[in-house]
Amino acid sequence: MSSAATPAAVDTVMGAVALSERPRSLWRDAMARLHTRKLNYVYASVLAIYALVAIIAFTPLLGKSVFDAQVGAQYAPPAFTGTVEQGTANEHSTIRPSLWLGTDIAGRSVLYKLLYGTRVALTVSLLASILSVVIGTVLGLLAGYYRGWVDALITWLYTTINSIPWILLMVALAYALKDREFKMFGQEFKLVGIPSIVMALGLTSWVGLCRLMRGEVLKHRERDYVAAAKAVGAGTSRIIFRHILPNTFHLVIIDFTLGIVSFVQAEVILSFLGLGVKDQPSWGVMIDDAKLELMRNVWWQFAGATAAIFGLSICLNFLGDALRDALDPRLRGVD
Amino acid sequence: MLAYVIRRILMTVPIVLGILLITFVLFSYVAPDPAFTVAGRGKKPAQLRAIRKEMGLDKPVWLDSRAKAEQDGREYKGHFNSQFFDVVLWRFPESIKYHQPVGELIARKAPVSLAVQLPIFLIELGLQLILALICAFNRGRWPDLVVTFGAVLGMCVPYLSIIILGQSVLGFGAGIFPVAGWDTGLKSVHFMALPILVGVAAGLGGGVRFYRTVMLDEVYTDYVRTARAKGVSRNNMMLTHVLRNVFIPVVTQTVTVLPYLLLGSLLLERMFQIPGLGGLMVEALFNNDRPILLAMTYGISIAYCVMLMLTDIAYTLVDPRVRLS
Amino acid sequence: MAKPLLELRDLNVAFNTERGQIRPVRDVSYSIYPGQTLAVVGESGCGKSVTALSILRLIPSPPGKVLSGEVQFEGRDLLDLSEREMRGVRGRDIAMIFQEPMTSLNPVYTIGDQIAEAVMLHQKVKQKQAYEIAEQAMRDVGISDPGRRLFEYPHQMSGGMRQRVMIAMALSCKPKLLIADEPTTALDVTIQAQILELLRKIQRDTGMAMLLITHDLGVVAENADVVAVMYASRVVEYAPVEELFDAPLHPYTQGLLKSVPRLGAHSERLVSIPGTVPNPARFPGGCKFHPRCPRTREAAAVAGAETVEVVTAEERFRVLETCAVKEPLLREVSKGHWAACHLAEGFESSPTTRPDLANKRAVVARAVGSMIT
Repeated sequence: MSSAATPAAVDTVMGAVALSERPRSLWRDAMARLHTRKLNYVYASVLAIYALVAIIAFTPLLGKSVFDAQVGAQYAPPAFTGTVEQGTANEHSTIRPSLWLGTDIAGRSVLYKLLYGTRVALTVSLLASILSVVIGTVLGLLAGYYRGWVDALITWLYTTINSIPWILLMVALAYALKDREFKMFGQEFKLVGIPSIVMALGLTSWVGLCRLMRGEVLKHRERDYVAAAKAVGAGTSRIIFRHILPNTFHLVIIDFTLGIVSFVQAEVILSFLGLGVKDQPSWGVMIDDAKLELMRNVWWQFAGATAAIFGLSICLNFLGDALRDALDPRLRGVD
Repeated sequence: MLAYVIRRILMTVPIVLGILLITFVLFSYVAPDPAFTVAGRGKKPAQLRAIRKEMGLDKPVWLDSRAKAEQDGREYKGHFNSQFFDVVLWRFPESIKYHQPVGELIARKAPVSLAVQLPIFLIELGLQLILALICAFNRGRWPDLVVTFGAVLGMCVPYLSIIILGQSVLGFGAGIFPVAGWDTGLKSVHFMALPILVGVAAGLGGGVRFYRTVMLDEVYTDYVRTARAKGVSRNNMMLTHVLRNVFIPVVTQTVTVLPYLLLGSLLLERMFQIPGLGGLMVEALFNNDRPILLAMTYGISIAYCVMLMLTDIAYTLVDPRVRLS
Repeated sequence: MAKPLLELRDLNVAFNTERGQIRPVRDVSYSIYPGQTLAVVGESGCGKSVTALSILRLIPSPPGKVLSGEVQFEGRDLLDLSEREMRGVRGRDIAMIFQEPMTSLNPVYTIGDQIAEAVMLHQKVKQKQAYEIAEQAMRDVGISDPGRRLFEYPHQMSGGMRQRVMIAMALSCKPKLLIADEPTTALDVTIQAQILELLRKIQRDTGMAMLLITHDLGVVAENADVVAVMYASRVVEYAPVEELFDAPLHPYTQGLLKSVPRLGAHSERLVSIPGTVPNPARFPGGCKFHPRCPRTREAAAVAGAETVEVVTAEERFRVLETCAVKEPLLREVSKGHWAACHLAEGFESSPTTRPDLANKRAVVARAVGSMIT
C-alpha cells in the first residue's frame, strides 16, 4: 500500500508547508461528513423536488379545481401502458399530461391528485413535526434545567402519555378533534381536516425528544461552559436557549427529520379510519380509495400514492440516518 | 428487592391517574357528543337532554351537592368521580351500537386478536433477532448491507399498502389464501395465514435495525474485547456474552409491542374482517361509539402500564446491576 | 544469544474511515525477550495501543486491517495463524489487560464465571476445578476473601479491585507474555503503585515477559528494561531504560522527559512540548514531529541552511527543508540506541536496522526524581 493513498499528504505550495489544522465546528464538521457521501445529494434533491411540487400546488396553477375536474373516462389506464381509450387522445394524438397516470373512479387525473397530495402530505407532516419538536424541546429543556417540581411534573406527563400506546392516543385524539368547533377570542373555529390531524399527530409525538433533551440537558447543565456563562452574568433563558440548546440541537434536527416520515405514514392510517383530510386528495385517501381497485386490476392510483410515500420516506430515512451519523458526537474522532 | 417492587408499584399510581385524567378529558370534553349518535338525525333538544341524562352525561364534573342531587333524583357523585370508580372497577356503559356491556364485548374479541397477533409477534421477533445477528456478525459486509437496506425499504412502504397488496396478489390474484373472513375454532387457521404473513412482512424492518444497533453497541464494548483476549471464539462471544447483555434492550423493545397484541392491528383486522379488538375499535370510530373507545383506550393503557411495571421488576432478575441500585 | 519471545517486524496497520484511510501503525518493530519488560511510551493516539491489539489480532475489523509486517511469536507468525489457532494463543500464551477496569468485565457474569471461563478455555479441567484455580488466582493477586468474591459481580467492586481481577484472569493460564495496556491510568495514585508492585512481583516469581503500554514516564522508569517511544504511528526512539533517560536522542523524547516534574530541580519552569499531537487523518509530511520540533527551528536559524516556512493556525516559522520533506526512519545511532531524527548526531551515517535489545535492567528500583542530571 503506497503512502500516497493516505490523506496525510500535505500541500507544499511554493516552499511553504501549509498545516491548516483549523478547528472545525460541530456543524461544519457535520456538513463535511454529509458532503463525503454523494448519495446524500441525491436524497436532498429528491426532497427538494417534493417540496417544489408542494409549493406549486399552493398556487392556482394546480389548485383544487384542477384535480377536481373530470379529465377522462372512469379508470382510464396510464398513458404509458399504451392502452389509450377512445376519445382521450386529442387531434394531435399527443396525450394530455393529466392522463399520464390514468384516472380514478370519477375520471379525475391521478397525476394531479398525486401532485396535490404532496402538498397535503408535506403540510401535515411538517406542521405536525414542528409542533411535536417545539413541545418536546421546550419541555425537555425546562425539565432538565430546572429539575425539582417542574421536572417531576413534566416527567409525569410524558410517562403518562408514554403509557398509552401511541396509535391509540393518536387515533383517540384525532377522533376527539374531528370537526370540532371551538370558541376562542370571540371567534368560532372549526377544526376541519389538516389542523385536527396536525394536532392529533403533534400533540402525541413529542415524548421521545422530550426525554432525550431532558437527559442531555441534565448532563450539560453541569458542564463548565454553563458555569462560565453564569459567571459572566448570563440569565437563565440566555443560558438555556443560547448555550444549552445549540449544544443539543442535533437531537432536534434528527427527531424532526424522522418525525416527518412517521407522520406521512400515520396520515394513511388516519385516512383509512375516516379521520383524515376531507374534500381534497391526499396520498392516504388515495390508498384508502384504492383498497378494492387493485382486485379490478386498477393499480395506478394505488401504485402512484404508494410510490410517492415510499420515495419521500426513503429519502428522509436515509438522510436522517446520515444526519445522525454526522451529528452524533459519540461517533466522531478517530483513535 | 421487596422495597424496589413496592416502590415500583407506587410509581405506577400517579401514571394510572394520569391516564384516567387524559382519557376523561379527551372523551368528555373534546370528543363529539354521543347523544347525537344515539338519537340519530333530527332529534329535538328535549330528546337530546333526556338521552344525556340517561347516559349520565349531564352530571357535573366533580362532586355535586347532595341536596341538589336528591332533588333531581340522581346519584350525587360527579362525572369524574363516578367515571373514576366505574373505570377502576372496569364498569363501562353499554355499547351504543351493540347494546351490550363493553367488558363482555372486549373479553369476547380479545382472544381473536391474540390468535392473530401472537404468531405475528413471535415469528417477527425470531426473524428480527436472527437477521440482526447475521448483520452484527457480518458488519459492513454484503449480508449486513443487504439486510439493513432491505429493512429500510420495508419500513418505507405504508402498512396499508402492504395489506392491500397481500390481499390482492396472494389472496385474490393467486388464490392461495382466502381474501378475508373468519371462522370458529380451528377452521380459522385457514383465514389466519395471510394476515399473519402480511403482519410479519410489514413489521419486520424497524426491529431488525433496532436490534442490529443494539448488538453492534455491545460488540464494540471493552468486555467483549476482554473476552476475545482470553481466547473466546466469535460465535461463543456472540451467543453468551453479547446475547445476554442484549437481552435487556430486547425485553424493553418487546414490552412496547405487547399492547398491540391485544389491540390487534386496526388496519389488519379491519381489512381482513377479523372479529377482534382492532376491528371493534375501527367500527366504534365510524359509529361514534364512545363507551367502546373509552374502554379500549383506557383498558389497554392500564394493561400496558402494568406490563411496563412487571418488566421493570423482571429486569432485577436478569441484570445484577439493577438489583442493587 | 537468546531468542526473542515476541518480535514485531515492520508492522503496518490501517483503518478505513469515511474521511479516508488512516495509518495508526507504520513500520513498527520491536522485540521482547523472556522475562523482559518492554515499555511503549507515547501520547494518546500515537498508535501504541493499536500495535498491541494487532499482536493479538484484536483490532476491530472492519475498519482496521493489518497491511503488512510480521508478528513472530515462538517461531510462528501470529498473522498467519487461523482464527482457531489464534484463539489458542490468546489468553494461554499471551494475555492482555486493559485500561478501563470499569468496563472491561462483562457486567452480567460473576467474577468467578469470567475467570473460570478463561481457565476452561485453555485447560482441560472441570468447572469445579476451574473455580478452584480462579480462587487461587484471585488469592495470588492479593484479593482478600476470594471464596466470597468469586460470586460477586463486577459492579460490586472498586476500580483497583477490578483491575486485580483482570490480572488474575490474565494470569490464570500462566501466559508467557502479558500485554498491559495502560493498566494503571484509570486508577488512583496509591492503587497505581500497588498494581505496579503486584505486576513486578508476578514477573519476578514467574519469569513472564511484559509489554507495558503507558504514557507515564514515571511508570516506565520504575518498570521497564527497554523503552520504545512512539510518535505519530512510528517508533522514534528505542533504547535501554537507563540510556534513554540519561541521553535521549530524539527531540520528542527530550520534550517528554522535560515535561515530567522533578524533585530537586530548582528554578526550572515545567516545560511541555509546544503544539498538539497531529490528527492521524492529517499527518504532516516529512518528519511528523517537525511542526513541534525545537531542534529543527534552531538549525533553521543558522545562516545558509535550506529552510521552508511552516504555517499553522497559531504561528509561522522556518524549519529545515529535510525535516519538512523527508521522513527519517529508525537508525542505530549509537550501539544499542535507535533514533529517528535527521539532526541526531551521526544519524545520516548510521545503519538502518531493526531495533532489538535483550537488556535487563541493572537496578531494579529507580526514582523518577533522579532521572536526569
